[in-house]
Parts: sequence; structure tokens; C-alpha cells
Amino acid sequence: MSKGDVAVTGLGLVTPAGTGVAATWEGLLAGRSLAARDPLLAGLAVDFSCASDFDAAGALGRRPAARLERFSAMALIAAREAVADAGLDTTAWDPLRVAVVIGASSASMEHYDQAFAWMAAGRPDRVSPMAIMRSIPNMPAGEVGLDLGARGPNLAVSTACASGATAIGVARDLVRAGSCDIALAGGSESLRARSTAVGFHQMRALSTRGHDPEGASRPFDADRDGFVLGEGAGVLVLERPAHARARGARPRALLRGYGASCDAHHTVAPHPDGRGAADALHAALADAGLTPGDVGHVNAHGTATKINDLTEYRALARVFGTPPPVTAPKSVLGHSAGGSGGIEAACAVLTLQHQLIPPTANLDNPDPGLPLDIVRKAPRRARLTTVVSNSFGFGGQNAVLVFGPA
Amino acid sequence: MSSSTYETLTETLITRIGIDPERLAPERTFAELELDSMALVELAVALDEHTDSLLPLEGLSDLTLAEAADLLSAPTAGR
Repeated sequence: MSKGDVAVTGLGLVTPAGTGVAATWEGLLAGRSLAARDPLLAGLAVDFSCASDFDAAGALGRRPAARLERFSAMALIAAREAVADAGLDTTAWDPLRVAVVIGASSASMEHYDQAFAWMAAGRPDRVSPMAIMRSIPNMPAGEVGLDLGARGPNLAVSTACASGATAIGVARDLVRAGSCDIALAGGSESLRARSTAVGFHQMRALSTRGHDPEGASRPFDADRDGFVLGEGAGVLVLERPAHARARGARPRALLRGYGASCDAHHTVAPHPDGRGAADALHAALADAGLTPGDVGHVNAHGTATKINDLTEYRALARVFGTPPPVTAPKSVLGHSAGGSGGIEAACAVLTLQHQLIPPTANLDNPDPGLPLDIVRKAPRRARLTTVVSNSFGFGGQNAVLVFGPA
Repeated sequence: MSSSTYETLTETLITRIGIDPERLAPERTFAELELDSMALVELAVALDEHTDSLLPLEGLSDLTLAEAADLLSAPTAGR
């Protein structure tokens, strides 16, 4: 263990594979895509998604479920699970020393169609007064603070599809700096909104494999044609190892390194050589005091867009020469934007704990232009001491997390 | 009390505010249902789609649901 390591003492997940860490891990190991036709998107060019069966009213009660957007409700349940998993007593902690940092790529669009429809109909007076307060991107963090009585630093981080990973990195820095003793960090987002689906489809980012939703999310496959909309939340509990030790908590893993960078190349297209992604990988490894040769596994960003997977491959080849085994959880869970970074960080921690790499779904025809060792068909046992999780966002914003065993 | 307006009111309380149907009764006040000012304005705007009148926000918290239903069915109230 080195000086800057931060302990991961708890995990919480809500994903298309179910509510809770166990359900998600099981779903990842099963290695089947969870995409299906989505009634919320009926009639649109892309009418399928990876939806979670998360029931906000059942989990939180009618009143909070009516008030909260899905990204806040999922964040609350993931945070509650993470706190319980960490063995934290919310009545006993010093609330001013508990930070919450949750990433989201944008405001929640869940109810805006209705608001825009009223405006278009000349009735702005009928727009819900709750439209802003329920949807602004800092609300998952704010609601988690409210729910758990966590009164320390509380903020959202927005780096598009890297938001969840960046949130964990920023929270790690708050813990390291002593700005808090405990941080609840991750991401939460639902892309299952009609305007979101239309927007991403118009930019040609989504898979249009409507005849075969289950086969649509196929990272690193030659026949990939875009990502699949998803939803979910992933929250980690972070503490300084001495703080965890003092309260008798057993960490699941150590967060050893964090690297962030910007492509500074194009608004949304990644640098063709994966320059920014490689920069973030180098920075994260340097931060951890490790070298590329120490890394046993990469949890890829792997969105299944043509360009992401190509430039991610180039970044990996650039940093590792021959990259270690890779997996792409978005093949199973779809892409929940800000949620994915948190979910995949939790996945990386579980991979390390179980010494088991979940498979990438739908990799029937690996792209010969991306010669990677991608785990497919079945989980693979591996002796892992260092696992890396990649997250890259529009705006060229990149975040890489490095985990090691506790 | 107009029964159809009362039904619209309770339906809106259930679907938009998330009030448990078992807590609803004509003699209940909004304060007893723990509607804060934000929930009251949300309710008033939501009801505007379905009723003739806009609920006046001032003093609303202390009204019973039956009194509110009467206001909603009076064509000029609150305007």
C-alpha cells in the first residue's frame, strides 16, 4: 500500500441487471445483453434500451418516487446500499465530514417532453413548477445528502460519459486532502427519455439494430454500430485506509490511482490516436506509482460506437504494447452515461475481489482491426493485482481509475 | 362539494404528489398531508389542466380537501 491509496469500503448498484451489487454481478457474469424494446421510446427510430426494473415507489415510497427523477431515486438506493455495505452508521458518523460526489452528464430529461409540449401549445403556465428542481444535474448528490444526513462537501461532476469516474476521482482527492473523512462517490443517470434518445440518434451515436435489440450493444465487434441507451447508478464509499481501520471496516479494494485528461482535439470525436485516453491512463498509473506492466485487466469504456472502440484500442496499444485482458460491461448493461463510470468502477472492484473477469456480450465477430484479448462467452479466472477502469466523455474528457487489492 | 372535482383533486394528489390514497379524506387539510409550498404550487398547476379555476396559493395549506374542491368548481374563484 502506498501513501495516497484510498480504501473502497462499500459498493451500491442499481442497473439493468437489477437492484443491488449481487444482482448486477450475476448479470455481468451471465454475459447476456439486457437490451429490449422499451415502451417509453415507442414510435421512435431507436425504440429499445437497457432498462432497470428498479421500482422507485417500492424502494422509497410513493411520495419520494413522485418527487424524484429516476437518476436521483437510483442514486439514493445505491448510496444506501453502499453505506450499509461499508458498515457505516449514519446516526453515529460526523455528518459534516461526509462528502457526496455524484456524476451526471446532463440534466434529467425525463419530464421535459411534457414541459416543452405545454410551451409549444402556448401554455407555459402549465409547466410543472418542479421541472427545474427535480432535473438539475446536482440533484442526485443533493438528494443523497438529504436522505443520509451527509452534510459535508456535496457536488455533481459533469464530464459527459466519464462523469461517474471523474466523480470518484474528485471524491478521492477530497478524501486525500482531508476535506472529508468519508466520501460517497459515483454516478447516476437514466438515458431512457425520448428527447435523449432522439438527440443521440440524430448524432448517429446509437445502434439502430432494432430487429435485434439484444445483439445491439457489441463493443469491439466488427458489426458494432453504436451504443445502447441504459440507466443505472453506482456508488462507492471511500475513506482513508487509517479511517477505515480505526472503525474496524474491511475494505473491498484500494483506489490507488486516478488520472484525468482532455483530448483538446474536437467537440465530440475522440483524438484519432486515443491521445487523451492514453494521457489519462499514464497519469492514473503514475499517480498509483505503477507501470503498465503491473496492470492485469482493463475494464474498458467500450461503448460499441465505431470510433470509441477504435480509439480506445489505439490508446491501450499505445500505453501497454500488448494490452492485458479487457472486458466491456456496456455490452451487458448498455450505456447510462454518467451512471456508467460509477457502475464500472464497482465492477472493477468486484472483478478484483472475485479474481474473475466478466465476459463481453455479443462479441461474435471480433474486429480484426482491434487485436485485443477480450474476455467473451464465459467469465475468466485471472490472478489480478491491478485493475484499471476507463471512462471517456464528449468534450474529450477522460478519467481512468486504478484499483488494487486491500 | 363537487364530487367530480374532489376526485380530480385526490387523483392529482396521488399521481403527481405521491400521497397514499388511504390518507385522503374530505376533511383532511393540505397541512395534515404535509404538502410544502413547492408541492402546493405543483398541485395547483397540475389541477389547472382539469378544472375551471386556479387554486389560490394563499392560505391553501389550511384548507380541507373538500373546501379546495369547492373552490375548484367555482368558475371565478382564484382568478
